Amino acid sequence: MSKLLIKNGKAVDPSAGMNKNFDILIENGIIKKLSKSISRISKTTKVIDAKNCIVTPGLIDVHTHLRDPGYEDKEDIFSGTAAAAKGGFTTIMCMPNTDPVLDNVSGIRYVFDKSSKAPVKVFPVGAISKKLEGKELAEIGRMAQEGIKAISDDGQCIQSSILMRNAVEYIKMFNLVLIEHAEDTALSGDGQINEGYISTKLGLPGIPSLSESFIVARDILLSEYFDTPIHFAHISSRKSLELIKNAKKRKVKVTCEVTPHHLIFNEEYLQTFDPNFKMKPPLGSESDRKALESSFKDGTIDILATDHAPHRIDEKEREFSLAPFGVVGLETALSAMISFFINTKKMTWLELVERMSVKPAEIFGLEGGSLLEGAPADITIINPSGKWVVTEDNLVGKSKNSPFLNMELTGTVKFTIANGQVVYGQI
Amino acid sequence: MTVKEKIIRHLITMDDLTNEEIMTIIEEAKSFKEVLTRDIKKVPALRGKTVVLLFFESSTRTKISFELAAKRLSADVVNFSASTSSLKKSESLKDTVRTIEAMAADIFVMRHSYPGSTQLVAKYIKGSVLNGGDGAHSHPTQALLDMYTIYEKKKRFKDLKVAIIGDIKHSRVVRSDIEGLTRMGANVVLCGPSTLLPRYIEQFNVGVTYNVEEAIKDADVVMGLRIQFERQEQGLFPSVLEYSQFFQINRPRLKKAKPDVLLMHPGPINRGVELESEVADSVYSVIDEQVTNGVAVRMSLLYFLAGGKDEQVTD
Repeated sequence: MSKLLIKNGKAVDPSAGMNKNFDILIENGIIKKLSKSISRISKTTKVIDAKNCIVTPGLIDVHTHLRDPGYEDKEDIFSGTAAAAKGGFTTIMCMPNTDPVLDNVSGIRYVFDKSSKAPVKVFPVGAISKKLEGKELAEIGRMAQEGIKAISDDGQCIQSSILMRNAVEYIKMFNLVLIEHAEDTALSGDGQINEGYISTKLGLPGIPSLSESFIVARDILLSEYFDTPIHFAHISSRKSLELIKNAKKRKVKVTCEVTPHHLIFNEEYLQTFDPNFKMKPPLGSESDRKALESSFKDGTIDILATDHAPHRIDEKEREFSLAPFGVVGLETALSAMISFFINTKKMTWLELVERMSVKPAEIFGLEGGSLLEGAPADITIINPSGKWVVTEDNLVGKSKNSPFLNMELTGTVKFTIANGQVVYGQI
Repeated sequence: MTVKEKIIRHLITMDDLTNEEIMTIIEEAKSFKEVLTRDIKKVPALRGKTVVLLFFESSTRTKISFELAAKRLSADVVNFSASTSSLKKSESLKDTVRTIEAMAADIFVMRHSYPGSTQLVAKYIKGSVLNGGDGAHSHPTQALLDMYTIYEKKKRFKDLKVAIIGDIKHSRVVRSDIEGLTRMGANVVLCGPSTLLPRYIEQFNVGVTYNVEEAIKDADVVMGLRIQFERQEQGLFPSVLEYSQFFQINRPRLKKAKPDVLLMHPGPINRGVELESEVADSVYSVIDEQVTNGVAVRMSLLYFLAGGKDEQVTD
């Protein structure tokens, strides 16, 4: 069987508190040996020289939209996983808002089957309600038998409190996490961007941050009442963070994620009506952004997720109010975090890898997040000083709606290894 | 040899004009207003130029005003109208404007119900784009004609108290008026129900009050804004009767203003709602003059954008 040796890299594994040079030997898709120095064992062993590189457990993104089935003009399982591999991810979870919706066994099987030939591991997230209509529960138990780790009506937050009660109570039987896109849709209405100085200036209908924190408050109460895990997707506001921080103090089983764009940009970027800064939840005020940053650092925010949301260029080029919400993120997340958090000393490598690999694995019960012997060989090798400019041409995903377009970022992925196979990078 | 190259200018928001340029447009408008009093109301300034009126939202006064302005400058005028709802399904805005530009248009006047659409079009075409109102974002020519009207009567902007009363939240006019008037040193005071005053509006260098008498007190200019009945359906205020009881500009309230107060309104008026009917027809009212001035100001602006005053020479 194939053997792969990674030499001279700096291994960062927060799960073991490891942050120094180690060689890693991979055999049969498993990390066979981790040692200060491993010399070549046989002629057939391929060697990767990771000098000056950071070697981490494969990154995990629990929030992507692969648009497959139904919207393959925006992305599909192969293009999306190629983008993931390029971005250093070895496992991703994809949201069920496809056409048809991933709300039943056959939809889940479709994603598992098709992605078995994809470069990285894909776990579909099942819908909470049939067709994401917020009316009746989907067949959550049967989807759990197929291997889903989480359920979500992402993008179509369930407004009915009784349906939510039933969902939260029902999943107690299964080892599932409910992922909430927190949005009170009566409050967000036809809102386009955060309700604030900029929305008033631009005359765009605002989405008040209340819209998110209302649902966060509701769900914290539900999670506490039923002792069931709820994970908040893409948290964006200071108020929501206050609620979550408080809930965590009471040991409520809530966790949350933040996206790179909410950590880095604020509503000021919308001054020119650039649709690549239009997403839900909307970019908040600078005060919100600062709160996200400090909560990401102190652990109130558990993990980073991209909310990779591909849309065609001509859809984004429409009138701002008609352009769809969402931006791509798989290929820029790591570089953005290196550029804006590692290089600015806001965060250490151990902290970043914990939030991009270890914790996501832990929260959703996924394999990975470890470089220790016996762990699956999901590994990301990063050149922390490699510079690149984000352009439409060098994004491999089908859609190019990135807020980082034309920005120079630092940090490139040299190799992505999933199940012991090099899925990105040239040996 | 020097190449004469015209700098393409757009007017999307009042921020696109310097204070000096605003004054130039106002000064020039005076002579165009004189043209409008002649028997033959036409000058050749824009002969050979094509002005396209792109109206994606219905409009009567703004469209007629621009059309007359362009025609009186001898421009060729082309009309394009479409409802925004049909745009959702049909050809994209980008393709629509590029197609029209391919037929050799010079200036685009555009009205659209979505904010930012004029800016978007400016990215796609080579000609000048003039914002005739985009959603609740901006309506700079209305601001220019309001400013012209005020300046004509008051000869200044500095330290004038301008009270604007009504639906501030959904008004593009008010945003452009604030931009233009505050820069010139006027004190703008906004007044309306709290649900129709957008959050953070106080950060726009304006006074804000819920008390209409306080707003009108000692004002040099009182401007009413149209109240749309659909806002009541949205639950933003309980009834038209309650609105007018609290916020209508009526005779007793207008008495609190300066004796030479100007009463303005961008139209169309809801008589008996934001304005008491008698007040609309009173000696204070300059509402009809605003409309006349609109044509003169738009002539001045078209002339300016077509290079009348701003021909740049690059060496």
